[in-house]
Amino acid sequence: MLLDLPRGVLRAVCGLALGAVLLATAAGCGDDDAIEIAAASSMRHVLPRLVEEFLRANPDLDVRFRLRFNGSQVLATQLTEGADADLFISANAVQAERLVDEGLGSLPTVVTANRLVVAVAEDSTWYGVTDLAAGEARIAVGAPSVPVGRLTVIALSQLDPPVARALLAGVVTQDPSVRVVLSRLELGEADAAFVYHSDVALTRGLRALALPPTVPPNEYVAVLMDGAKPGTEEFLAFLLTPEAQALFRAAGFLTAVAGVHAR
Amino acid sequence: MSIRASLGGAALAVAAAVLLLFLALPLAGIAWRALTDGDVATELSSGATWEALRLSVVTSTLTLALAVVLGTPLAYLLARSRSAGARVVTSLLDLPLVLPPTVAGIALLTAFGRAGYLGEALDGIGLTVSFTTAAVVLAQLFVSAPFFVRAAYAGFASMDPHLEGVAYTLGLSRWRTFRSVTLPLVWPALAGGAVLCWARALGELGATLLFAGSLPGETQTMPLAILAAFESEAGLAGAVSLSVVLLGFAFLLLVALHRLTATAGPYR
Repeated sequence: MLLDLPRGVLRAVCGLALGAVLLATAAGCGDDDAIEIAAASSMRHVLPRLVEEFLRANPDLDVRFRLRFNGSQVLATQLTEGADADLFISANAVQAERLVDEGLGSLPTVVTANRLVVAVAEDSTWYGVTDLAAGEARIAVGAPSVPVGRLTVIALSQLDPPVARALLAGVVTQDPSVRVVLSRLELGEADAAFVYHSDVALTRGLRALALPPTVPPNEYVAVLMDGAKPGTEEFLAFLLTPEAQALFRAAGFLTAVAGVHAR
Repeated sequence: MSIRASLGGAALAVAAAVLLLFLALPLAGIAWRALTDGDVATELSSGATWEALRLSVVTSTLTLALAVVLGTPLAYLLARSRSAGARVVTSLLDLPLVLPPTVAGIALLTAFGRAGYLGEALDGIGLTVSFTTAAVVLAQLFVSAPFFVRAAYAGFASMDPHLEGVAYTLGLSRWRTFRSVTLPLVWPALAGGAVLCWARALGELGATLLFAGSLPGETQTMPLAILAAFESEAGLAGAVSLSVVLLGFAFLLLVALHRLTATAGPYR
């Protein structure tokens, strides 16, 4: 039975278990004073630069930031299930609205926008979407249920019907996030991918083919979460300043059209 | 002594109950969430759900068949070999289990993808693996076959090899010996490994997404459909409903498998 085990073995097992529990608890305690920003994955590159610029412009503010990136849907789910954040920047207006509707946050604000483009390898021989249709390209798109995929459906509906049909026939995958769509090009498995302009801007070796200008841009909506720490609202206001918008543009985003999000 | 013994018994029961509860509570939670928040009936009446479920069953069954047919000889040879090479191979077998599934998908692409080192040769003879149903099976096989081989290896290694020697001296052929001496002894290990392998294949997500893509009817298995639902506006409600459909289905299949291997096994 259990007590037939040598004492030392038992003690070692108990010690290990206790140690593991203590370690797990310690890992859960982070920096409690930092302003926590939960942002859409596509903000990964531009947001640290924005934070840096904000801190430089406000040397008298004693604040620190902690940034967390994931798909907007994943972040929204974490937040409604009780995760903590001071600011939520969603690539999906619907998720932002849902949080506000549930009374978890306020001030939904459009901070920037992103244009849908077709990314191809820089050294490819495709110079327009009609080339792709004629060349039987393998094409990666987002699933119609996610924002990038929904925009892709709109874009295809605005192309010449035969071109759109040829492109649709070349679709090999409908991916759950724009990051996965982009990886198809990076790994050489697809010839073209419907992604955002900012994705192309920060990925080496890619070129963007334009889509009709009538395709609406995807708007990024920031939400001030309830009980946000001091400094969060200032940062949200900073995102709309010309300095911040210039950083967005440099990273391939569009200038925010409006401030407060209109429903 | 009897007090100490009963204390030991109580400790065992508490430890067992803690883990059992830890495993059961999240499953109960997702079932409860699906019943209150989700819409399991709608998902069950949707053609897309059945299409994903059919694809999951077909691919995971093919994966299991491949793992058993190719994995049993591998496990047997490794268990019977005394060379240092066999020991190295045995420990390498666990590596696919350590890889995060997404990395496993990228690894498969580097070999069999269009730009992979074997992929270019395959492309030359008109075979493209990535983004096909075959890629789904290969992704599942890569991550789940080690479960079967590992269990089968343990079975072969734990039986006394002298029994096989005795059978040979009695004039039995190698095949007869394997069938009537070895197999009955290792049957429980093989059956357990098969269940683990099949369950892991059924739940496979990351490697499949990277290597096979996600296209309804061709490569979108249930886990990929659940991921797509989670990222959509239906969000959590749609994802948990689909998850409960998958869980319920897997439960039925697992019960059937357990009964099959326990009662209808060829040697019971």
